[in-house]
Amino acid sequence: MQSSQEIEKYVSDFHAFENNGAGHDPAWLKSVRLAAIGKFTELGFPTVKQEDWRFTNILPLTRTSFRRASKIASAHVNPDELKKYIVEGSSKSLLVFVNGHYSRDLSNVAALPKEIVAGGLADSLASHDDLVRRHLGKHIPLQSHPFAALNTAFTHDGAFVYIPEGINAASPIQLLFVSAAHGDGHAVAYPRNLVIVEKKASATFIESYVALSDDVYFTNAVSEVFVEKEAAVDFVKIQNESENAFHVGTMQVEQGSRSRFTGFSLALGASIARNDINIAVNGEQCETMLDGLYLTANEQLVDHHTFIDHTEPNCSSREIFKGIITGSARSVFNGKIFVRKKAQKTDSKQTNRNLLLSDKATVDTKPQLEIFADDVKCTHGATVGGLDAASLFYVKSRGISEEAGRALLTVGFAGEVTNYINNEAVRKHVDSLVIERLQEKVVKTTLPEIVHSETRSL
Amino acid sequence: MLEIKNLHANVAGKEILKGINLTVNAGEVHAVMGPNGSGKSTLAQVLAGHPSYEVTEGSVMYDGKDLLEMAPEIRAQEGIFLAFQYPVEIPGVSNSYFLKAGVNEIRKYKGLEPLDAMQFLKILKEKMKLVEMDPSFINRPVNEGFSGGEKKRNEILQMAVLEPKLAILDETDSGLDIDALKIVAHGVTRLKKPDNAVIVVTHYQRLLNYIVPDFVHVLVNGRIVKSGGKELALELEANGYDNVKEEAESVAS
Repeated sequence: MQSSQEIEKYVSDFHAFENNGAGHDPAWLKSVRLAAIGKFTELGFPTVKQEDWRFTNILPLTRTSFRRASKIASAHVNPDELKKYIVEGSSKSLLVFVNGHYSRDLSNVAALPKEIVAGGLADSLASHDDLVRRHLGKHIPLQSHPFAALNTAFTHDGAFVYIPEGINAASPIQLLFVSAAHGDGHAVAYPRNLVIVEKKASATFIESYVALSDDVYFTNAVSEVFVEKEAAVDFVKIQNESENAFHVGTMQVEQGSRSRFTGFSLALGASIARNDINIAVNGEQCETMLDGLYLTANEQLVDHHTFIDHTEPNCSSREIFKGIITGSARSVFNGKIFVRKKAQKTDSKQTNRNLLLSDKATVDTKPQLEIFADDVKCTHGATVGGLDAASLFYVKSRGISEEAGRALLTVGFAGEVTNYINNEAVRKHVDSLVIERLQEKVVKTTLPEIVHSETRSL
Repeated sequence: MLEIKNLHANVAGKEILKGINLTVNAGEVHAVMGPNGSGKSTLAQVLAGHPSYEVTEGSVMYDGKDLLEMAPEIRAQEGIFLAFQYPVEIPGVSNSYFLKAGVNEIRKYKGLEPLDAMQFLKILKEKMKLVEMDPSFINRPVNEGFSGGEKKRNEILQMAVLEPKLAILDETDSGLDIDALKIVAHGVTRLKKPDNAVIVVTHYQRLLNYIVPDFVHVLVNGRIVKSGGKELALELEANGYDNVKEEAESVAS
């Protein structure tokens, strides 16, 4: 049981927030927030005694004092500093947030079709109150997610993107979350993102978390993505926080019938990072792809908990998560798949492969399948180990040294999963971040660019 | 160039090579044939330094040096090339980067300057014509999505680029149709020079119509039981391996 003192700090921060930062928000949101802080106080922070947090000790996070970041910092961010974080082709379909607050000055949505609404959540509480109210929190199980409850207690700003029926966003829409120096103790940001893609619409999203300094800060983000009937959404999350920071992200996706969702999670930064990705497949004939890559080094801890809930028949899902763990780092992967009784003819595949590159690196992997329908095809597998000996021999037999050979195979290991990112510009951006990170933390020899084959099947 | 004396080797505790003796000189083509399980591939892989095999007795001298003491990458840098029976796929890394890395490591070992991207690409394009490979293959991940025939041709392409002194072809003909076989064989014969040598490991005589051997050795149960000229291959084709096995058994007893 953590100290009630730690909880109290958040509660008093909440009261300060309600009295200062969020005065003009609608009454319905205020009561949602009040209920949420109550829920958070009741649940408290999770401990390793709870199954879902068994391998993930967050004491370093709970023991640090954080205060909600105010909006001031935006003014001090130089747009030139952000250039390298922007995906090619997204500079005019870009929403920028500084410490969780939308910055209109740093954002630019000129390339988006005029029918699309893209901006800050705080602003849309006024302009699109009904749309926000109908969707916000619809599927977040506050009961079991103390961090989601905490984010909900402080919900005020973040991204709001609404793509009406039949509209296709040609340029990838980037939501760029920047952490900038706060100056006043350690900051916590609570971005709350709401993405609604209506019937037959389509778009590619990039949600990136980056830092302009090495500070200790805390990002507690919740993203809700609604993929309506026959819509197609690609959603790539890039977590590249400061190595001293903490990141807890909850993503909640709902799919309507005949829709396609292709998700990708890249985890590079943060001292402790936890991602909960929940997908409610609530329609027939859906396609769900959820892939990810985590590169964990030094003493980092990266945890992915995914949940794909098949509630309807004739759907397919494929999940491939790969990890490269080195130093004394630790990674956790828990992949839960439910196939409800009604979800006949579900075809689901789940794979988690981990490459351990040092003696002290550890990984905990747990597939969790609960199948209640009787006519389904479900496979899952997890591996933990070193580089494949046969592949290493092949590489050496061409004269390549042991060190260079290991480096090449490690690049290949990562490239195999980034292959599943459909959009070429996004994929290239992710690949170069991966190579940069491998170069910094994992291998000493120079590395090639990742190349991909053309096929990208389910 | 190569002197194998009384070579014994195990895999997973089981003895496969039971005393191989073989000498290969520069300019020669040697065929090693035999029934399944005779140890042909084992011999090829032991020469290349595959980690799964343990040499328990005997010696292999290559250009007067102890080959068995060398790590696989050193053997390659010394000019040994193994064309794999089952080439490995390496996703994420392009054929061109992979080969260039190998070429430059070998050049470094020999004290030569590395090739830059332009120089290497020029050589690669030239060699690709030799094995009729589509130029688009350069930028694809190593062997990924390649058919069996394409993988084998890629092995010969690598051989053409790396210019080994001793090339060992491990069942390069397995799984190939006649057209692919001709391309592969043509590539190998074009690379043949008075100062290099080739060991062709094969089950069928067919490949040897196109890569004509100077010597044919028959491997049965981990030992070379008969050696001869290229006619021996034709004999085996006509009569099968049983005759030779019987002959070997009667000589032994």
